[in-house]
Amino acid sequence: MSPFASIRELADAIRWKKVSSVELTTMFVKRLESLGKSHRAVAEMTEEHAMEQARQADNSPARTMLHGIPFGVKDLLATKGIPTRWGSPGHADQVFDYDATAVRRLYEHGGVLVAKLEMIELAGGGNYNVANASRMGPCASAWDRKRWAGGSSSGSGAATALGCVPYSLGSETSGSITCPSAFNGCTGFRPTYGRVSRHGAMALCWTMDKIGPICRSAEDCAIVLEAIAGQDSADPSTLAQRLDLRPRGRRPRIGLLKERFRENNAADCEKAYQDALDVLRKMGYETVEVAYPALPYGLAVEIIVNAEGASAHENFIRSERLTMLADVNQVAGFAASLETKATDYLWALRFRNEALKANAIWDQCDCIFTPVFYHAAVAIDKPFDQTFRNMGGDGGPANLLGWPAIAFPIGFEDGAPLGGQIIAPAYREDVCLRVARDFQFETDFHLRRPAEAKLDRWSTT
Amino acid sequence: MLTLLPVPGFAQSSGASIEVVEKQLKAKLSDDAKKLLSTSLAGLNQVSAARQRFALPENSEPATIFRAVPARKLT
Repeated sequence: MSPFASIRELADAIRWKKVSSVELTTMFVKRLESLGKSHRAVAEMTEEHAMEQARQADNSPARTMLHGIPFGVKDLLATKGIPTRWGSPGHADQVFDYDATAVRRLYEHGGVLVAKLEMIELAGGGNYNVANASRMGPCASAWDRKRWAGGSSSGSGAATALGCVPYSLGSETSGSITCPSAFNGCTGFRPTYGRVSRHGAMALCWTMDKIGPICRSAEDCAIVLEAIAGQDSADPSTLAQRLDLRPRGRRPRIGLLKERFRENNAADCEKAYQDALDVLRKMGYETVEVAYPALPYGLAVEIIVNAEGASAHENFIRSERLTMLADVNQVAGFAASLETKATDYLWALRFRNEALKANAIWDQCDCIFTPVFYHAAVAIDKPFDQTFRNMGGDGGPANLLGWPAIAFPIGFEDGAPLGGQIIAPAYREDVCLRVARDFQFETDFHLRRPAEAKLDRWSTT
Repeated sequence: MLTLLPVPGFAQSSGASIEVVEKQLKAKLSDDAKKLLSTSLAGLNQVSAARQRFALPENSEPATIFRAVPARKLT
């Protein structure tokens, strides 16, 4: 069985007894132990736990698409009896006695947890500036070990792209699913705020944190998102409205922002973006130029994340353990964030209501297509204040207003993947999925694999 | 500066007093962290100043903490 098989292929193989869950688990455990760990994508192996789940799956009828299929989760999600360290050297002994709701829902679908995946410490709270801001060291991109895997869901992106897990869960407050998806050539789905329960997830920012799948196709993302979405009495922010990913109505009209390829010396990205648009237009998608109202979205995000992060982690910040963080920028940033003014935070929450004006953009289009970044993954060994200068990135209101987005590969730059993203109005994950799935039906960027991950020595069955 | 994506610019200048942070917090920080703390505090002041340039309507209220996502009629 190929380690890059889709969820549907794996489900069929299990249903027709062509492969057992134990065999799949054995294969992915070996790949994680070797390839995954060598990229520093693994926080904790859960082999014993996984083999027990796999045996149970093999001894029971396949009830769902995810039955018996291994997966990994960002180490920000609580797993009963298994260390959950939040990527932080200051939380090395942390073990919860319950499972995060998203993890529990995957268990209920017959999923097999094979690993906790590495992440940027405390999901980047306090503002990190180096790839080394992680308990296990800098996580390398699946495509090039000299490049960073992105963050903060670093291991989820790298391990999924490397075929170390069929799929994984990540989380995003502001870019932490889309960034590692782009840097590793994955397809990652950031759902609407409240779509997936945050219960059992480390809080960085209560009003912006989202849990979502990182997979190798839009189709796989849909399967995983359907499994983990839904209201949860343990998380008052979860939406009552049921997730409906079925395509509805006419083809969505795609909005195009004013991009700055030339200013950022991004010729390869410009070509990939234009080629992607050509593909979509040939399929019948209409495009229209749009612009967000010029408002200080990023400023509000910064204040909210700093304030809520400082409050969520105040005990840790005031403890001796703060200095154990790997990135001194975060040590200082967390310490400073305790000084965030209440008037600044309340301004940001009031601004959030003003920012709702940006919803007017949906009168002109049904979704927005924009590069995740203007370049492929940055160097792993240089500070980000040097490497991110020409990267661009969505500076709009999407995360502030809880809009969903799906990131997926649209081309390459110097052999490393470039990511595009479809952003849609709140509650309209179906629009994201429809466009990305159509694009992947016509292209093969999502089917290309890192050369290293295809080597025979990693394949075990 | 975004928290989850590194964006340069936070540490552009120092000047804010480190004295605003409690003594026990300062005492445990390394010299490198203390220097960065100064610039981080300066960054907070810059952010505060920047947001004050964007005046909000006097009748605006904070978004409900768990319902920031707009309830909007879908097309």
